[in-house]
Order: sequence, then C-alpha cells, then structure tokens
Amino acid sequence: MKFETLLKFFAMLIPWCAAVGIFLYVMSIRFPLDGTVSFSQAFDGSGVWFTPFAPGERVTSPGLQNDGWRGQRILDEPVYAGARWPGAYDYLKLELDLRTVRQPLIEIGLLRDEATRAYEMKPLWSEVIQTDAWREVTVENTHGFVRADLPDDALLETNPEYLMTWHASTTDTAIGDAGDMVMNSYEVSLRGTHHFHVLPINGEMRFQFAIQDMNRNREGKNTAAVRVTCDDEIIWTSAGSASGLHDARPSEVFTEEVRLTNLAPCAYRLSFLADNDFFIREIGTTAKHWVIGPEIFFGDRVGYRATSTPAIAWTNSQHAVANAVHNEGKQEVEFGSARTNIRETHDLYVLNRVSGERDNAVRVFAPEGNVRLIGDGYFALTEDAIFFPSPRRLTAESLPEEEGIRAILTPYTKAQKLSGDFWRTTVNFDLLQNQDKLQFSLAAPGIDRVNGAVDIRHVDLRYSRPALSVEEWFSRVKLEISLALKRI
Amino acid sequence: MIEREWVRTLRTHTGYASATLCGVLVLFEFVLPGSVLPYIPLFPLCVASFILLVGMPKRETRFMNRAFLITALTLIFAFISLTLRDNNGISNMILILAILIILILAAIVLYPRD
Repeated sequence: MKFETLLKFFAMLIPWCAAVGIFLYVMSIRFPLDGTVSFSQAFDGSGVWFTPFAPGERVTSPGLQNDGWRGQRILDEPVYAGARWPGAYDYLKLELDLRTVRQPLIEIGLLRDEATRAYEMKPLWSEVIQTDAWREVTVENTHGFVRADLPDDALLETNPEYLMTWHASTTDTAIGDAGDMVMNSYEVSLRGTHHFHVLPINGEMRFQFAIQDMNRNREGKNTAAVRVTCDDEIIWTSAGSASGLHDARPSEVFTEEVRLTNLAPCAYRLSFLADNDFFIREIGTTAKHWVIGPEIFFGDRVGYRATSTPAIAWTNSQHAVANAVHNEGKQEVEFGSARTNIRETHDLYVLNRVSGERDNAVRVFAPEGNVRLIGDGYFALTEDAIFFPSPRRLTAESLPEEEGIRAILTPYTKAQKLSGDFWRTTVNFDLLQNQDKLQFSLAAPGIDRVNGAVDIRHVDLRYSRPALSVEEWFSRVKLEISLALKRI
Repeated sequence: MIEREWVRTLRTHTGYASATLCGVLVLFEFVLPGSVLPYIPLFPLCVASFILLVGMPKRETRFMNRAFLITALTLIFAFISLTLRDNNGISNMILILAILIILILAAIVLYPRD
C-alpha cells in the first residue's frame, strides 16, 4: 500500500519535472550563461536559422545541385535572406562557406531601416585581396591590408592617391595649396548638378560660375544653389534664381561668385546644385588643384553659342560609363587609349582603362560634347589640376596593385581555404536592440555581366553579448520584455 | 480492465503538465519569437495535450478538465496563428477559422460525459 502511494507520487512528479526541465532548457538557450549562442546549418533548405536566398529567379533551389554538391547557387544580384532572432544579443558573427565563379567581389548587408530599405553593407569576399600580394595588418586600431612588399605602417598612408577603402571611413584630407592667386577661366558647358573638390590656396578659395537657365518658365525647380562643405560640415551656402514666369526664353548669363578666406587645410567640396536646365557656361578659379566628380555632364551650347565644342577632360578614374541624352551625343568617346562608340541615346557605355595606363591620369575626349560621364575617380579640365580628394573605393573592377595602391582600409578579414574550392568567409555585425528580425542582402556587383555565380554550402551564426552581472541580467530581461510588449 | 491508480495519475498529470507547458511555450514564442519553435516541436505537443485532456477519465473531467480543454484549444489556435504570423491574407484567416471549428467539433464529440 505504501509502495502504491509512492508510485502515485512519482507518477504525478515525473510529468511536471519533465515540463519544468523542458522550460529550463528553452530558458537556457534564450538566456545562455556565457552570453553566446551558435547555430550551424547546411545551406540546403533544411536549416531554420538562416533562410535560403531569394528571389527565386536569381538563385537555384537549395539542396542537391546539378553538379553534385549540396547548397544554393546565386546567379544574379541582389538577393535577400533572413535569420531568426534568438534574443537580445549585441553581436553577430556570420560565416558563409562559399565558392565563386568569375565573381571577384561580394558584399553582404544587414537591414537597418525597414522604411527606407537601408542596409549596412560589409565586405564578404575579395579575390584581389585574397592573393599573396596583400598582407592583413592592424596598426593603431586601424585594420586593413598593405602591399606585401611594404611595412605594416603603410596602412597609415594619408595620401588618397595611394589609398583605397572598402567599407571603411576616412576623414577628408587635411591638405591645401600655397602660392600665387592667379584667376584662370575655362569655357565649358556643364549641365545640372556638379560637385567640385577644391584645395584652397593660402587658405583662400575663389570660384566664379557663369550660369544660364535655359528654361525659365518651369515651376518650382528654377533655383540653383551652391554649398561648400568639409568633412560634411557646411561652410557656406548661397542660392540664386533666374525665374521668368511668362518668359520661356533662356536667361541672360549671370555670375555666381564663391570667395572664402581663412579656410583650414581640407579638400573642400563645392556643390553646384541645380536641375538639368541650368548650365555652367564658364568657370573662373584661382585653385591649382580642383576636380569634378564622380559625374561630369557636358551639355550642348544651343542658345549660347552657334557651335558645339568637344568635351575634353582628364580623369584619374579607372572605369567610367558614358551616355548621351541627345542624338548629337552619338559619337566615339576616348578614355586614354580605350574607345567606346555611343550608338544609342540613354544607353550606358562602359569605359575601362587599357592595361599599362593604370597609374596616371588619362584624357577623356568626346568630339561632339553632349555626353555624361560617371567615373570611379574624378575629372579635371586641365591635367595638372587633377588630384584625389578622397581615397578610391575597392570595386569589382579594381586592380589595386596595378593602380599604384599601397594600402586598403577595410574591416574585411582574409577568408580561410576549405575543400573543393570553397572558402570560409567571415563578417561581423553589431546588432541594434530595437531590431526584431534580421534581413540580409547579398551583392555581387557585375555578376550578370560576367555570367558569374556564387555557391553557398554552409552557414554558421554566432550571436554573443558580454557576460552579464545580476543588474545587467535584469536590465536585459527588461529590454526583452519591452521588445515583447512592442511586438504585442 | 481496471486501470491502475498510478497509471491514471500519470495520464492525468501528463495531460495537465503538457497543457501547461504548451501554454507557457506558446506565450514565450509569441512574446519572444524564435525562442521555442526551432527547438521544441510545438504542434505535436499541442496535439498530444489535446488528446490527453479530452481522453481523461470521468473522475477527472470536472471543472479543471474543462478549463484545461478550453486552454488547450486556445493554445492550438494560438500556435496556428503563430506559425502563420508572417503571412497575411484572408485565405490564412479562413484556414485558421476552419481548423478552430474542426477542433471545437472534435472536442464536443470526444468530451467525456458523466
């Protein structure tokens, strides 16, 4: 009888103990004592922690692929994936085992603002940096890569001409010119918004723009503004209008002058902000080093001069695209020794420097003018005015060694070689506590042009936060409760 | 065959414990998404709780049993809602309502009578 009572007691105890055990197990995963939780999954659609990439027309179905490996192949970009949110962690270390086919550069981003679909992009893979020509170093809390034959402190290079960045920030170059102030004038026909990057001489900057509005009776947009900034700090602004409500004729050419003194050394950015009905007909400046970019738009001279003039500029861009908006712009454009023939208006035509012409400025020449150019560097109207106001960005087309680069600033870490041409790539994200889900975007620039692919076979996620004291643990629980209340 | 006392106790408390656990875990998953579903298969747990509760011996089917039965139904409904949370659209709502009606009918049929 006593045994029967004991048996009944255990029959009651066992289910409740099991229930409490399961609940504690779930709690221990949600609030791990060491603050770290890791998940590892094959990229074959079976895992729950990281969803396969989508949309379907840019990727293959995850699982067994035609050539016998298991995973998912990315054929176009951008593609998107999501990760489960395992709790209020501070950091995420994401490791992807991937293989590339004709794809030199990959970036991955974490969605930061759902309303604007803004992603914080990070480097994931660079074929160029993976070579032995680049050595990974960290100097004075700065991480990046230096050319293998240079010492570690080459990473502290300040001349933007020898520096490249890849998702790393730098401050504007604190440089200036000295010498005589001589005003030089350049007859141009630049159309719409242009950004000028200028080194002041003896702390002084002087620019004169001869401006013409070619369509005065449009509403709302016939104001041009000029803004001068250094390190995103606004130094000076001005605005002007050539409004003519009942007068559709082009305006008279009028002059807007920028004259600033006592300027600190900086590569100043002078932005001329206007729509495409505004034309800069002439630029006068005392600056020795000044460039325009990354876009320059040579417009026509209808209503100003009877003849068209060729577009001539020098550029430190390695790659550019050209397009024309009028039939008059159909022409052969020279980019150093490289040529491209603009055959259709509004189509983009790619210009790449030829091998052997990578380390100095090259001339850009369009005999008919009427052409818009966007480069990965800057343009100047004279060869000796050219300089780099800021470092170039590493792109899929970059060849940093040939371009004379000495150091690359980037949070990228070299990938580890795995079996079967696969590499383990690592990227770290800081997690914001008001996020409820993690959405990623993978970018493989130019993948469609080269008919490339990115194969992914495995993913590891490691969420972490510092070990917590009792007070921190309670504040963490409070944070989770406030997130939960928001969710409800 | 007369059921032994300890077996009946085990069945009863397994039902209560699993229903309670279901409720807590569903609530946990609801307020902290991703906490439970990747580790614990909630759907089989909910179904098991439901079967255990509606199949309870007559002696246990008083106030507590009714309370747990209603709780279990609510939990299953909540679970289905949870799994379909990321999808919007009238078809999902109709599906949820259809499943709920089937479950209520099943409960009426299976509910033990004195």
